[in-house]
Amino acid sequence: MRSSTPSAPRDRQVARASGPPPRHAGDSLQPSRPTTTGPAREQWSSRIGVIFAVAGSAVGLGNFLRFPGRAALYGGGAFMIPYFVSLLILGIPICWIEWTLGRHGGRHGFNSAPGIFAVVWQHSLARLFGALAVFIPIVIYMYYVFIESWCFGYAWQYLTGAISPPSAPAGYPEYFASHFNDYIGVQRDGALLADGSPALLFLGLCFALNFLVVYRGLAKGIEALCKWAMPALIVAALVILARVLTLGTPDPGLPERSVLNGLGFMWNPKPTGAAGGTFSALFDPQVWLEAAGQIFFTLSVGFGVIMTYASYLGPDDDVTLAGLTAAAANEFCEVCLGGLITIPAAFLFLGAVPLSHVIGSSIGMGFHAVPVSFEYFPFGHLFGFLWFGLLALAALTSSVSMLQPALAFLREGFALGHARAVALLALLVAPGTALIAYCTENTAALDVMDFWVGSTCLVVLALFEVLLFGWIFGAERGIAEANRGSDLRIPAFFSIVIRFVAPLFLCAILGAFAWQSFAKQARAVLGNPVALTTAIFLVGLFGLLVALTNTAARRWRERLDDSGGYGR
Amino acid sequence: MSVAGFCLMSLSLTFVVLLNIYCFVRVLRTKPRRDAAGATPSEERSDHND
Repeated sequence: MRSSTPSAPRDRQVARASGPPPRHAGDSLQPSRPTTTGPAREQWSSRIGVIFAVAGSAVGLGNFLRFPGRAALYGGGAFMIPYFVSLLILGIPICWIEWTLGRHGGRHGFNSAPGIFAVVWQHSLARLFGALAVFIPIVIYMYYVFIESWCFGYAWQYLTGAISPPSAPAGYPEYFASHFNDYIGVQRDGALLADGSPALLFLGLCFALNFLVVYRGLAKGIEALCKWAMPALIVAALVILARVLTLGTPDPGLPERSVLNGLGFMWNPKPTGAAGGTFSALFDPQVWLEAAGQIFFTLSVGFGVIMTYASYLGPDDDVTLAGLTAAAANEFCEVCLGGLITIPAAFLFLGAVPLSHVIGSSIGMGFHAVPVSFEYFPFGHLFGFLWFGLLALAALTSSVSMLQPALAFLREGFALGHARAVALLALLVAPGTALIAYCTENTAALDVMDFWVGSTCLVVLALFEVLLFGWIFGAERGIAEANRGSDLRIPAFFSIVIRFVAPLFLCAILGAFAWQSFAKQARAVLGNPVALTTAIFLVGLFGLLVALTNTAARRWRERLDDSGGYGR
Repeated sequence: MSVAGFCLMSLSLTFVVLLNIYCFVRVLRTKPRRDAAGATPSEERSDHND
């Protein structure tokens, strides 16, 4: 709760922090911290705080729902070999790129991607991709906050006993499927509004909670949230993990449904096709693409979020060790927690065959399969509450991070005060969330946003960042910049990874997307009025952001011209 | 669970846990740098928030 202290000191602080970037090159280009007399930008209050904030942004529903399903589908334990290779040659280098670009832009007074890109490359393409880096997180926020509200809603229902499946276990799967479909209004558009669904209440509360956190600012809002939410979700996951691993063989009549076999379902190496040897999955290109895609999405790279977060660091603050630590924390949540909880829990009570039917769907795993398992647990409602509570916290720490890039852009692009920028951002985002909440039939609107923006645009932006860093900023120069003030030196050979390996990997992922899904997804958009409306909305929003970026760039050009370009 | 599955699981968990231990120990053992005036970044930042 906020105190009733008069707001004048906070207003002054906000006014200082929200001023436009310094107008004179001499003010802004000094690679130093803001002085006590000059305009001050927001900054993190501690190093561990920024690590938790970045890890919080990366740890989301995918760690607990998407990763286990991908691993079990694409080779089991064998999946982990391309997974870790991708982590080393794709994930961590791109993380370092975003951290370094962010700190570099922050040193020159910019916190948003359009400004940071302009520091490195004064070209119209940089403005276009800058707009894309603002567009992606806010569009993902539009539907992610809806999914987040399901988690909060389910946690509340478990806490209050509103989840009440039939007494016969045979009815559990059908109960949870229909409960979920009713809850999110999947039957028809406008179902939530017509039925006065509690889902709308939770959506409103989640939406407001996210904006409250960002309104409180970087250190007092996002950092403070992540500093308690990350440990809390890890503790909740460890409690559930301890319970799952000590269940043994819950039903003596079904000895094959044991914890060990559940772990085997997830971790045993297996071929991806009908035939093949134990490790044949390693020779399947699809497995490598899935592993690279999983690494890419789990680390939240290509969002512009890490870049914005890193821009609030001091000019000589460490980025390499902090970046690696945040990635490692994300991997802990994904491999050690997600990899040991979700599949074994669902396997114990569903068995191998029913589980195989839902394993490819993150939503199916999280909202159908795992809740069924909790009904067999002693104190199942408590574990249900913990499960959805941890998912809600994971989603919340991710969703608040999605607002920060656009907030930073509005503040520095148009010299808006913090409160005004937050209010304007809420107005910008609300129509998209309303569209998602209204057009719930078969989640058509959500699927359009998720595929075209949450998957495709993400890879496109990451490819641009890698090329910008490796070929325009210069890989060697970039690594030297990353190593400055850092506690962990990036080896020189990473310049080859950054210039050649990572772009090729990203091109392969993008090519695979295009080959497998573009035609199908385009047909889905053209054949469904809701999907088409959503696509038009997205194009319009992107056009608006491009126009805003061009306007902001004109404001910044004076500074860029004065300095002869910041980063060159 | 097969032997290969157990080995892959153990190696994966060990790698991730050791990576976390290495990173967090290094982060927690590294003291904040002091600038010329002797203030740590967090001390300096707290001045801004007064």
